[in-house]
This record gives sequence, structure tokens and C-alpha cells, in this order.
Amino acid sequence: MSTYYNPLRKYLRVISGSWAEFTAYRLNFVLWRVRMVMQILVVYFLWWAIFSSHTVLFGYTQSMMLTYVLLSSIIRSIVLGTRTDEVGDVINEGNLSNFLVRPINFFRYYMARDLADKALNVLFAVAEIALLIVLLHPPVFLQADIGILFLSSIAVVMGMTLYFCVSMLLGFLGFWIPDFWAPRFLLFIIIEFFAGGFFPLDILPEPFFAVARSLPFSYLLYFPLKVYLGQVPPGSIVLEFGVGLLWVSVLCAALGIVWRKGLRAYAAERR
Amino acid sequence: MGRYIRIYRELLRLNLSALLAYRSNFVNSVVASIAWGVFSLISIILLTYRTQSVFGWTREEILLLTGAYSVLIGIFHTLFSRNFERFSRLVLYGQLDAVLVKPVDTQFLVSFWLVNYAGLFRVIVGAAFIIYLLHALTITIPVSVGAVFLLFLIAGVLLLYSVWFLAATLTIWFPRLTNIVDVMYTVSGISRLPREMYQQLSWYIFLFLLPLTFIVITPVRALIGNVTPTDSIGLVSFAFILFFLSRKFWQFALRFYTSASS
Repeated sequence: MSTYYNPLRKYLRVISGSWAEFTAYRLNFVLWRVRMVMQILVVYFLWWAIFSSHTVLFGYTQSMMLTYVLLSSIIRSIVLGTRTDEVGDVINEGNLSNFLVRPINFFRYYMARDLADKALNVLFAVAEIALLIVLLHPPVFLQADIGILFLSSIAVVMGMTLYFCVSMLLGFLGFWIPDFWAPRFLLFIIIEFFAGGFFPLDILPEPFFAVARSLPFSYLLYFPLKVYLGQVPPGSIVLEFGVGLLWVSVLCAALGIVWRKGLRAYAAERR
Repeated sequence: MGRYIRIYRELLRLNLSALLAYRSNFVNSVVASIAWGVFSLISIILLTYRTQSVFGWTREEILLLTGAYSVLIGIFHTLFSRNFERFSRLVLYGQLDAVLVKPVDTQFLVSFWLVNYAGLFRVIVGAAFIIYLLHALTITIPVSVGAVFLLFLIAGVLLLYSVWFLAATLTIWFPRLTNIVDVMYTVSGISRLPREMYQQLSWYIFLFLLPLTFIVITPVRALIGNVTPTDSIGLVSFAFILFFLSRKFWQFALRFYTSASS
């Protein structure tokens, strides 16, 4: 009698295992979310203060800017929520060998872990933002156009894929560099800045904005949020998605090349 | 007191030896410290380049606030941050026993054991920015004002240390609260923005955050010559009261230390 083998089952187990792992230290997780809320509040009140003497600033109304700030918290949980930041340590400590000798795909394993991480963080982020909306009554801009909502969802998925590739590539530094936390930290700060995580990129002076848009990172947060706010002209939206997809393809290809080169350099040290 | 100065001198020397032994790690830390300092300054410059004033603070004063925050947090990271990161590990793995049996004040030992020399580079970045800003604004600072600024800066560091220590002491009851330090990094960031910004919060949250708003604002107001008695008294009183409370709370908490993992 043959039994049906579901190849996805092992990854579903990874998702449920990861979820159990993240929720095991509940107080730590709650503190992590408290930190996130505090960060949102600081940025929120900063913009609230700046808009107290302006109706429109940098081309944004107060409502649009506060929507950008609050919504970026949810998008951040989806796009930047990842467990691939442990990849460098996995390589450095020789634990990559565990993946190489088992019938499990390293990339799919981390995709599954990322899904668990994103699901948990999104759950909390949505609840927090809802609470902040109830408490602060911010003039949030609600997008009613289904087409735009659909396009912004596609942009979020594109950002998620892009960040998975970028974060994995940073982790792969571990193949060649033992002390890689500083380059990773620096690159993460640069990525967060150029992704529009601190403020919308189009408030930057023109040369900085041009630099930011020539990098792939603006497709992580800035682009999905601009699509949601309806600020991407219909004439350029196809081109924008095209460039975003091009970046995804380039980074996916780079990921494969670096992975193969890395495996050749991998010596399973400390094992 | 002399004994503690001698111990600290020895700790400085030991930390320097460790630094020389792990040079690449030190270089990494220095690069990260400088880059983060420069990045904070650049982001606030860009953010405010079209804004002339916020809540009565001119753009230049807000930039000065960021520079002073960089100096203060650099000093704090040099002296204390690493120790707080070690703090939760000491409690979680029961290693605090080794500290408790030494014939030295335990709060002193857990607070000063590690020195992060890379943090000094953040101080240099912040100080250079303040000097540049004062020069660009053609403001001359008399020595007496500079001395008051430094005294308030020290009081600010003491206040920040006390707040961190009070929070870190909670790990005695909740040893798995290992990321409390991450939360405190965010809490510290509150001090770099004008106090008036937080007055929009409900009064109990504002009261909770109030001590933090004195940490950098008071030294900067002293520097630009508009410090009020409320700022001065507020900073010094909060610094000493919270330091006193942190000591009492630590001594109280130690009664509940179970050395679970040792």
C-alpha cells in the first residue's frame, strides 16, 4: 500500500516548531513588541509636532504622513521580519553541516521560519496599530480602491522576496568573514534608511532621493507604502513593478551564485 | 573610595588587554560606533532641513540636541552598555554568585566590569559636530558655561545609568528577560527629542517619561544659555533620587536571587 508523501509537510512542521519556539519566551516577545510600539510612538509624535505648524509639508498632508508612519510598522513586520539574520552564525559555528546532510532545503527551511516569524509579528503589529488608532485617533488615510490595495499587496510580496535575498546574502558573509556582525549592522542601518523605514524617501533632497531610488531597498517599504497612498502615477506603476522584479531576479541569481561559491569555501569549522 | 579607583584602573587595564587581543572585533565596533553616530546626525539634518522650528526649538538647537545626545550616549556605551548586556547573562546562568562572593560592592562590579573603548569614538563624533555647529553659528562658549554643560552631562549619564539599572534589576525575578537591554536602548532614545513633544501623551505616560527628558535637554539648554531652574533642579534631583532608588532596589532584589542555573 503506497502512502501519499506531502513534500511540504516537513516545512509545515518547521513553521509550527518555529512558532512554538518564538512563543516559548513570551515575556521577551512582549518586551520586543513594547520596544516596537515605543519606536512608532517616537516617530509618530515627531511628525505630529512637525505638522503642528504646517498643513502640507514635503508634499504630504499630516494624514498621509501619519498613515505612512503607522502603516510602515505593519509592512515592516511583513517585509523585514526574518530569521535569516541567524544564517551567518549557523555558517560560522559549523551548524550548516546539519542542513547539508539532511533531506531539507536550506532556503525553504528559512522561508518557513520567516513565515512563522512574519505571522506572529504581523498579528501583534495589527493589534498594536489598532490600539493606537483607538487611543490617539490619528487622521489615518484609508485606501478604498480595491485595485490599489491589490497592487500594494503585490508590492509587499515583492519587497518580502527582495529582503529575503538581501538578508540571506548578508548572512552568507559568514562563509568568508568570522566577525561579520559590524558589516551586517552597518548594512542593516543603510538598508533601513534607504528602504524608507525612518521617513518617506521623497522628503530627502533631490540628490539623496535619486541615490535612494537607484538602489533596490526602496522597494522594501517606500514603494509599497507609496502605492497604498495612491502616490505612484498610473503611467509609471508598470515600470516601477518591472524595475522591482528585475531587482528580485538579479538578487535571486546572486544568491545562487554566492551560495555555491560559499559552499566551496565552507570548512565546517568548530565542528 | 581610593580602593575603588584602584580597582577601576585595573579594570581599565584588563579591558585594554582584551581589546588588544581581539583587535578585529574592536575595529568592527569602532566602525559601527562611528557609522551609527554619523548616521544619526545625517538623518536628523535631512529630516529638519525644511523645518525652521519645532515646539520653540530652532533647527540648530535640535541639531545641538542630537550632537549632545551622541556625546552622552557615547560615554554611556563606553562605561555601561556592555555591562548591562552581561547583567542578564549573569543572572540567567547563575554566574552572579561569583560577583556576590567578592569583597567589593556588587553594584559597582556588575556596572563597571567591562569597558567598551569603541564607544569613545561616538563621543568624538558628537563633540566634533557640536564644535562645528557652534563655530558655524558663531557662538562662543565661556569656560564657565562649558563646565556647567559638562557637569549636567555627567548628571545626565548618572540619571540614564540609574534608569537602566532599575530596569535591569528586574531580571533577578525574571531571568529570561534577556532583551530588556534592547528595550532600554529605545527608551534612551526618548531623551534626544524636545520634552514638549511628549506632552501630547496622556499625563501618566508623560510623567513616566519625564525624568528621561531632562537627560540631554538640560545640558544643551545650559550650553545655549536658556536653562531654567526647573531644568537644573529636575536633572540633578532625578539623578540622585533615582540613583539612590537603584541601590536600594538592587539590595532588595538580591534577597530574591536564587542562583538557579549554577
